[in-house]
Amino acid sequence: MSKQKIHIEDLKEGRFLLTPKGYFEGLEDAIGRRTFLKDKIALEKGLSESPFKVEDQYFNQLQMAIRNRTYERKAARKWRPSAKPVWLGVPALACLLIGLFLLIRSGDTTEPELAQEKDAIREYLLSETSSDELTEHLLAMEETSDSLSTVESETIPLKGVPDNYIEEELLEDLSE
Amino acid sequence: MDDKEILQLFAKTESRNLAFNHLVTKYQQKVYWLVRRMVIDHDDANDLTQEVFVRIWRSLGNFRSEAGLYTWIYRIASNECLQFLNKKRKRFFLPLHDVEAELTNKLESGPLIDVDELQMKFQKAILTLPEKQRMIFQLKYYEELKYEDISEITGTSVGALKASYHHAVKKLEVLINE
Repeated sequence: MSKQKIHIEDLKEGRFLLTPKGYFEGLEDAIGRRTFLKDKIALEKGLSESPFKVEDQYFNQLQMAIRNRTYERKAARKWRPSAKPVWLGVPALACLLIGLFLLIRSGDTTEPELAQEKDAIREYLLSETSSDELTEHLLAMEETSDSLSTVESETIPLKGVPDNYIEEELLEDLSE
Repeated sequence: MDDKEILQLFAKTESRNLAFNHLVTKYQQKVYWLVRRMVIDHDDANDLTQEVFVRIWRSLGNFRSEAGLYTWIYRIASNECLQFLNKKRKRFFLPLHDVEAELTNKLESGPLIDVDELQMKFQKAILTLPEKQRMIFQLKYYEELKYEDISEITGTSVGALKASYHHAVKKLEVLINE
């Protein structure tokens, strides 16, 4: 019985990988077994065929995808006219937006903060000071303002200078 | 077009794209099927095949022509596969048998897989092999490469490869006949 027949018999009995002892020893036999597996089992059982499938057009799509990821994409980048200005514009736009944000933020915060401070002082005065004390305080403030207005309205004499100094000077100039 | 011609074309700037196009046409199916048998899932294989060719595009200018182009391409492809499986294991803190279980699950339920009972048994048995041994088995059994070429691809000595392939086949025999 030839080796091949033995193998086919093994195949039929499901012992497709069990072969006579010694047959697979050595490199040549290993190659022989692989050939056997591929030639014979492929015929009988389809074992050496890949069980994995792909769609019919897959390898065309794969080739396009590889092209897009390698030289075609780089070539497209090279001559695209709008590429440079777009990249320069991005940081400029970012700076502009940050500036606007800071400007709006500073405008918004100043006035409410001042108003809050005024309210806080008013509340503090009302809470910490009794009505009598407040009245006294207000009267004192009025007195102070009166005295200040008095000071402003009075002329303060300068030492060693006559009151009508300016008038005399003017008269002399006119007479000349 | 043979590999030498592809390399000569690639060396010239004006014909570089044409050369790469020829290279992709020539090797895309080989790379895809090698990767697919290792990672089982079509989408993963698609991503990895693209990665392999992007790497080839970037590095082909530095390729030393003493080594065969196809062994160099297979080395990139096998490294990508092994790195992918390693990352998968590290990312999810999976032990080896869990990755094997995931791949088996994809084999059983994934689309674009056509397996009968015997083929399923055979593929499951292949998945039980350690990753590097599985790669060696694929390169020998399906790709029919010489041990010398597999040695260049995997960086393993010819003797170790023969032993690895022999053990792989023995293991598969046992598993299929269980």
